[in-house]
Amino acid sequence: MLKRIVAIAARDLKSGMRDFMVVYIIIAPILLAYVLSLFVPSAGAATLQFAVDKKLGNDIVDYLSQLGNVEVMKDADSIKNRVMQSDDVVGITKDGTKYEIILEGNETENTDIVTKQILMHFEGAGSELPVEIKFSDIGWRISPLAQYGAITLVIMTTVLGGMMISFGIVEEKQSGTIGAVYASPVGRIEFVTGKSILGFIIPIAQSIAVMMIFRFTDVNFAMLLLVILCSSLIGILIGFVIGVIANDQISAVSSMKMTFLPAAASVIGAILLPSRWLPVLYWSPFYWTFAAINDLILKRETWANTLTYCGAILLLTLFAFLLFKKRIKTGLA
Amino acid sequence: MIKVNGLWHSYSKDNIYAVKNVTFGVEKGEIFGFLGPSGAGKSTTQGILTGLLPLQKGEVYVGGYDLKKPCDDMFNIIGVSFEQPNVYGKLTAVENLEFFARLYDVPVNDPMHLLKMVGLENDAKKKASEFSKGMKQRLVFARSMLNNPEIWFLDEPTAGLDPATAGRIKEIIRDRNKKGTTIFLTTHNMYVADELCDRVAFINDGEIVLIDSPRNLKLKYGDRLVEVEYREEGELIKETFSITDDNERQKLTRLIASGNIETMHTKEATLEEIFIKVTGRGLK
Repeated sequence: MLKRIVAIAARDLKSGMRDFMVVYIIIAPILLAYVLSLFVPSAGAATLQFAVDKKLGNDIVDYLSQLGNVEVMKDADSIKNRVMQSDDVVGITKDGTKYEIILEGNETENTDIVTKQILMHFEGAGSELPVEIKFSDIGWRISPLAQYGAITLVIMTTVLGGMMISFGIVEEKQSGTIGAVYASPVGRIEFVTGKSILGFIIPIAQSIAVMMIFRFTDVNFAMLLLVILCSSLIGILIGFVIGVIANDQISAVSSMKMTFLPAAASVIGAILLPSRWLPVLYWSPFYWTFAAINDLILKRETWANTLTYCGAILLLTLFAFLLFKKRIKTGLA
Repeated sequence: MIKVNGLWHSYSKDNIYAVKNVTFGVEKGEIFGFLGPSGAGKSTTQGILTGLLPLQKGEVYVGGYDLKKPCDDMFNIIGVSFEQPNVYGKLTAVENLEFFARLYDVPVNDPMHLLKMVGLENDAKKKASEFSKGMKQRLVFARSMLNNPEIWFLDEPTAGLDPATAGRIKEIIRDRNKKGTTIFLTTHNMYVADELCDRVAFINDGEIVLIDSPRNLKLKYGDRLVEVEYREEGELIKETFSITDDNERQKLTRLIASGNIETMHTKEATLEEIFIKVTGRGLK
């Protein structure tokens, strides 16, 4: 059974890799994540980021952690390498008893002055500087562009996984190979499972790549995996529905565009709506995916919450499946 | 190997039947031809026998498997060659066969060997989308032999092929039949059926109207006549003699003895003529 399921998935992948549209679907979220990540430094300026020399000790790391993100580096060279990367990071080391601030040169205005002021504040010394510095915290610990960009792209990957499935089914229908497969020992469950595998693998691989590109490397990957697996189910269901309805790849793409609407509406709604209005999005599995990944990125996730979100996604997907079950069954016959 | 009893099938699930009370059996090692014009119910019957269409009413046993209780194992012993060239266009010929080979639970033939048998060995690494219709047809035919089927369903296996290739395909069919494969051949090509089949069934409007060997049918429905062309005083004369009439038989004997005969043909009926005689419609 497993042999046949793997054979069907491998064939779909091989066939897909020879289709420009499918290749585009695979790389699009990764490219988009990379392009968005280039804009993250300016948006990231909402948060201070420090690369601190390990030899400075834990006290300063703890102090700076209250004000922004801190990365502890092993030596001055590591700090320089980190500062040279595309985002705004202030390097801090010590030369004897004096602090040394390492900057790339293209940072936001007054970054050096702000850093000096922070360090003086830490040392308990007063300061007389030509600018007025006021410390405030508006709640952003990470770049909103990175946060919402990553969530949007992860949701997009689940829909794109479904798109690959719909292309595969359309190909089978157009060429009539579905009959040839059914005239072999492949059972219907094996066929559907084999066709679904890419709908899980592609979003998982793409989502991990997206999170890496946005530097969300310390999220709970076990929970992320669980959320993507559950979210992929709705993408797979959409893929099968569109696959059995569409007669060719173009009409599959057109139908798929329509599914981006509820996905986009859920994301935009989740970002913009005040919390008392959020229940209007509860019908959408994409909203629950948003909520789950948002918690993961903001590090406020718990297993209880994640399981609740996944439960909601699964319940809504099951409801949609029951709605379309007959259509899918007939379409694949 | 195949037993069909009182088979009915309606696509619209009402009283409009594509197949009506079809009953027949196919013995082990037999080549059984299923002849009929388009829309007669050939494909519906084959669809049910190959498990592609659900069994609605009647009894069907294929290789001992009761199709009322469909079982995926049955597909390990049957092979289906479709009339439609249904291959994966983005895969090469050999990749197409390798994929299907992985779906069986029984030992399979080497894909390259099969491609060689159908004359596609030089195109093995070419994408199937670049194939002509005839090449795709041969690939489908090769695919149906992957699992060395005990029961082989062939739907118009020589349609669209040039005479040399069609001859090669017929040779493969005969060869496998000699090795014991039972063959269910669906066609509207009376020559192919006549050449290959041990028995044929005529299906018309969803009903089987005749089942017998081509020879018996020809003897039963054909005229026992001989058509002769001979020269007499420089003039070419064409005449038909009955071989059941004593006078005409003696006249034919004298003519043969004279040595003036140029051409001579027996006038047994073709399967198409018999079909028209029985059903009142052609096979096309």
